[in-house]
Amino acid sequence: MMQLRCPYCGERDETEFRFGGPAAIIRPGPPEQVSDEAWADFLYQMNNEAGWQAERWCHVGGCGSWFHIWRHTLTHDVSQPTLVGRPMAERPVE
Amino acid sequence: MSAFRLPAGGSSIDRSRKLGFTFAGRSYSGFDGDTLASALAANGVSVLGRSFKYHRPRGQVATGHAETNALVQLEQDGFSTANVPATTIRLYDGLVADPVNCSPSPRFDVLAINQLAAPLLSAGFYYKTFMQPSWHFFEGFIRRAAGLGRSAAIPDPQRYGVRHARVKTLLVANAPVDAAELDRHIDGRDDLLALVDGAVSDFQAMAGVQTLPNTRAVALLDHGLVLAVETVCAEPVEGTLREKLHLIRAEKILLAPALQDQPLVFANNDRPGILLLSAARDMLETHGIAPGRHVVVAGPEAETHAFADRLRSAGTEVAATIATDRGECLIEARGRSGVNRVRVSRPDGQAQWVSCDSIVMQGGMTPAIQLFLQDGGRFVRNAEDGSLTASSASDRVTLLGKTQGTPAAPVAAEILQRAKLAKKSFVDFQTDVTVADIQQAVAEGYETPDHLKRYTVLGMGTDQGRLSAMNGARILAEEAARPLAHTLPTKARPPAIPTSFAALGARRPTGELIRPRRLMPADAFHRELGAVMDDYGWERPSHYTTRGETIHDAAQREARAVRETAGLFDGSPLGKIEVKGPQAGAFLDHIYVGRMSTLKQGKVRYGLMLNENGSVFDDGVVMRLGENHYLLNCTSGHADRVFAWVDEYRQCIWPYDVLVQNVTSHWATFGIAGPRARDILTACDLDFDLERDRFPHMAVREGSFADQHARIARVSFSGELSYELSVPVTAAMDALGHLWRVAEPLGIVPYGIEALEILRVEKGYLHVGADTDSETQPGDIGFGAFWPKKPADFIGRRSLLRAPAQRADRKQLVGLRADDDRTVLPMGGHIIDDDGGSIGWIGSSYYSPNLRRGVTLAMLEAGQGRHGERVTVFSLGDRWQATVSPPTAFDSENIRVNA
Amino acid sequence: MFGTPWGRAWRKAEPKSHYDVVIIGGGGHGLATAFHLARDHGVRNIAVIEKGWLGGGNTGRNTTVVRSDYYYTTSSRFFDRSVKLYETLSKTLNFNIMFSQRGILNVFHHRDDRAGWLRLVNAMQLNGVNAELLDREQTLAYCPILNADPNARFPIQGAFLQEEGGTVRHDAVAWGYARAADAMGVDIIEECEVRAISRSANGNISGLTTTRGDISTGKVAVMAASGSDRLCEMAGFRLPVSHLTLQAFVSEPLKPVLDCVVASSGTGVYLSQSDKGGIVAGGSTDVFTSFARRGNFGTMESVLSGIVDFIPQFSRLKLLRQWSGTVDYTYDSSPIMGLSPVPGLYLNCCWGGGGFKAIPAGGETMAATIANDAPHSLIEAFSIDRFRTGALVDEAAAAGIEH
Repeated sequence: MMQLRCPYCGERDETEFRFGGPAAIIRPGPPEQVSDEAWADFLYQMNNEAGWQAERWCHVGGCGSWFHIWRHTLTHDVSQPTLVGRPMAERPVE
Repeated sequence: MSAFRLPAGGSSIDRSRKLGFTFAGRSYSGFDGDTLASALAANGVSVLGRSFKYHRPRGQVATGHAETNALVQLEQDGFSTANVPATTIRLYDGLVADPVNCSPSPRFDVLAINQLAAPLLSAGFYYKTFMQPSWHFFEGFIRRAAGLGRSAAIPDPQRYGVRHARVKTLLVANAPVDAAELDRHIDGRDDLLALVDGAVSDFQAMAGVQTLPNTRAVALLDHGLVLAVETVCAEPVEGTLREKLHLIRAEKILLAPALQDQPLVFANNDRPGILLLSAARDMLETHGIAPGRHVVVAGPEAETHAFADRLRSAGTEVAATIATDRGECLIEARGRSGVNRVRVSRPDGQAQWVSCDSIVMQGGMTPAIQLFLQDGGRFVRNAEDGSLTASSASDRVTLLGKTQGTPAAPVAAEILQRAKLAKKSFVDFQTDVTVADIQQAVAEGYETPDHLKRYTVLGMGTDQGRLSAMNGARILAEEAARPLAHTLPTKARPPAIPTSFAALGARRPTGELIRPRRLMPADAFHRELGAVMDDYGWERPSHYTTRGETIHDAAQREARAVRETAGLFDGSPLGKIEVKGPQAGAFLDHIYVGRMSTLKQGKVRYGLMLNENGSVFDDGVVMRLGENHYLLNCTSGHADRVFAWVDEYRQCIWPYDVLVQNVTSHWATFGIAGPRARDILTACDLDFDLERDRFPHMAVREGSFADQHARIARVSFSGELSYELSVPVTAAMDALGHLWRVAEPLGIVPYGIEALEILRVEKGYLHVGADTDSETQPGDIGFGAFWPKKPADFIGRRSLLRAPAQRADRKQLVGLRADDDRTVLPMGGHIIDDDGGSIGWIGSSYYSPNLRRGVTLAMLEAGQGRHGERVTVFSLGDRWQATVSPPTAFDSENIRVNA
Repeated sequence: MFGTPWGRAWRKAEPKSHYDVVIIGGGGHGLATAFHLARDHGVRNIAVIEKGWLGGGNTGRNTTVVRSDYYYTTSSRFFDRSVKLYETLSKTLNFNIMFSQRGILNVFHHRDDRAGWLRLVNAMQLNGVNAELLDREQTLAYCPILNADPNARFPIQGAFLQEEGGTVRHDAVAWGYARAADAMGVDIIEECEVRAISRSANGNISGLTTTRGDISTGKVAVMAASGSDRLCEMAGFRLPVSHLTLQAFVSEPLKPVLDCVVASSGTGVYLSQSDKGGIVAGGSTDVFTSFARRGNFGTMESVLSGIVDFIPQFSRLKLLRQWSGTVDYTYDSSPIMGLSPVPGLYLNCCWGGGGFKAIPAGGETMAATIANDAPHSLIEAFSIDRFRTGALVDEAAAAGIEH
């Protein structure tokens, strides 16, 4: 069971958090100017890195904030969090 | 038969305290401090069970959880526990155990006939046979022959607990720990937690260390979480805590792994009376038991001589010592259900028979490093001899003590050459995998460790390969001419020791608390009125009954009363989300299909939420309470999800100047619906102006009720003149009591979910999730006309522009009327075309007491253009004729709702 | 003869410099496709290349359940074809895959859930697939060990039953197809990893670079489960997929006690008993992206405690092993099959946790798709194009789980 660090509440067990997919996605718009392909990318494309991956998580069992972390999808190592809307930390070195 | 209790000795037993026990229906006695295995050995019971496939007689071979043969069924006051190693059961008075996998007894087992068919049952035999006439024809027999112990038949009389611990250092000591070495890895002993194997006796002397007794570490998971299971009360005392799961977080984990000695591979090496040196030593030193009277000791010269000396000093005759590191080896044991002689080969090639009644063996040592491997640790193998040494660990994990194994003893050339003969040389005792099986698997191409394991089931028994992995890898390497380094399994999967489901799941409740019931604030009030509660995400009245009415009759009566006089409905679980701030309206324009920024203060508007895929996600009314203050209603039981969803968009997509808060449980909400609703509320002495034109349908007012802040909205889910009165949750009982005192004399009737369903279907109001599915888009339910003109983007809007959203055959909401008015078309039924294909489905359907016929909502291909058409409904082979209609069957002019 | 050793199940083939078709992924789908290409379409110069060992991916990691309880006609036809092929597969391959059609029971716990299951049962019946709805008494009679307490938090209210469903010995499917394909000349090349996919000037697939040398070919089929996205990236496009961990659990062996596959919609667990006697169980996927093939504890404890709630007498049943696979899920939980944006590259992937049951039909339809360079009629709806157009095949939602 991983432990993630909520920017407000500190380190907690993974079961308090909800995974939200890739970090810092841009929602394309306005709708009439978005191609089917670009919309499909937004809806269905995940990052799927086998390594460090930028992710969005929410501390649902606590303060409810969304934040970004880097997480290694093979080792499950995690980086320090940054709040959504703030610049993401640098990708950790292997 | 061979083992016996020595007149003295045994460090753990108390010879003054005799304990009675029963095994296979016979009574025996042992001493306090015995294991079931040692007590049986002391009584001369050597055949403890039968093997999995051939049903060969088997006895104890190892110690503790490595034991693979001596598994028993433990009987405890009607509760039965399967497959417990007899070596792990501390004897208690009155213990009752039975052998597994033999019938009627371990000494005489009818399925032992499988031994005669042995040549037919070689590796992979299942895959090549049993196909004619069919697998079904054979499967029952094969299943009954397989399996080991029996399942319990009643719920567990004992309990399971959980404890969390966070320490600086965790020590898992399965081998003696050198104090000086330990101190090198820790700052001090103050914050050290130790899990110490019972076999490691000298540890307790170390000062200042907190230890957990009877606790085994079973898993090392992500971020260093260690799971350990403590046996609290092994005896069958009802209501006691049986096991406790410890979740331990440590900055540093020190593992001192045990070295597990391995069997020697020779013909009939599975006979009772043949056991590992570690097991023989444990019997002798701990329990005062000699393995036999004429013992052969085989293994590395130094160890065999030392143990032979120990046996002699205990008064036992040593028939021979066989130095496997000096070119000597065992070839074949003889004896029916024990051993009476063994053939031994000498370095010069000479072979001779040695009489004996027990064989003590050590075929190499391998470190038991399951936890280390679970953490992603690696070990290096000596390419020459295959012995294992753990190497790099993660930052968190350090290995202590002796982690260097010793080589596997060679297998006699004769065994490898003659393996195809009937005499069996076992590599895995419990799963009955022999040298010949490995040879055959390799010959057929199953030569990677994983293929071998899967084809022969090598290492898949309850000892998890502790006694078979090393020999299996060595023989595979030889047979497949592969480097040994490529034939050893490198992974260990949790748990390290077979562990009960209940202990591993102990942190999660079962039973009533598996999903705590949510009670409405006025729960007690409804129960007094005769509410029959059911689980709708919240505990809510499905109906009210006093005189044994059926649910159907009660719902019919309630639904009629609402339309004739008035009904009282507790809608407290209704989802309530407040959105406040200067940009609240603009924000909500993104959330809903409709426009909320144009909603006037004091007004209410129906809103539809989509997911980004364009499918209907939730619906409910939106109230504008102030310039910058909205209240969103959403489906009951869906409130947490909708709140999380809206707030996610606020934080991540549209970070507007708004606050979003889930206030579902802050307010109690009571609905008063029916022709007399206004009269009743007027009689309640409210400070609200209820006059029809000043407080029309889809308006909201704030004021007070029974001295409490209150809010009334004129909204309706029944199609009647209807008010929803909301008060702070703390005032719920008082407010409802007041309301009831006034309203009951005026003829109000409480109604439940079932009646509400009838009412809303009469009126054609859909229920998201019941009448819609993931295909449903706004246009399908009559909300396609407005959004194209809306300026703002909203969730899911882009998906409504894709081709499938424009298809002419989209499923659309309709009503259905069966030809026979008495028919209630089945919910879950399908509408079919002339070819019998599905063209739609029924989401809601009830008998309407007000229309005196069935009312039905369905999704039908191109349904909006098919009003008046006749269709066929199908369910479970039955068919009905019906006519398509608009969804609304009752008061389509909305006269009542606007009354 | 029974005990007589057979020859090698498949040759240890060395890669040749050219193949007519190269299938990437030596799991059930890849091997079945090779078998059908060779047997039904006369293509003999085929290689199946596998990064690790044959059948070591999700074919050898799943909980062996085979069923065809699908809602949409499109899915129903495909998966029912698969069940039909499984019924005769032992004889087709002369290899006993031990299809045990002991029935699959999906238990529900609230009377309002009945309508959703009835909708599915009726859809199946209209599609010609057997399905039944059982009431509480029938459910408990079919599977007597379930928690029969009428006041349980999740009381048994009824169940949906597919009697033709059951379990199959999973490894045997890979081995049986491998053996039969090998006998027709298919080269099965293990421990061979693809490093690059090359395309000719006209955009068509032209070959592969592997750890065991270059291979020229005009047709490449990607059937590599969680490795598929990376392979497609080599060819110039991505898959709309999420990679999650799915855990499975097996207990110590017991004498027969559970005679069907049974699932609970309340606790989300499902379980069956293997021929060897172990209780094989699973639940929902872990909730975050991972390629680690190690399950998280939150899912593990909810599956195990869920089983104890559903079948209280299993409280002391001992977990022998937990293991995990990486499953590749699309948004609608249906697979991606057929042609791809790259000419000469064919897709059969994104099966999520449900690919095992589809192996025979996957092989049959993909072989035809590759041979004819046009999608087989049974798999047209599963094209990758559906994510651009929005024409999803959302089975999970139709089953009432999500909306």
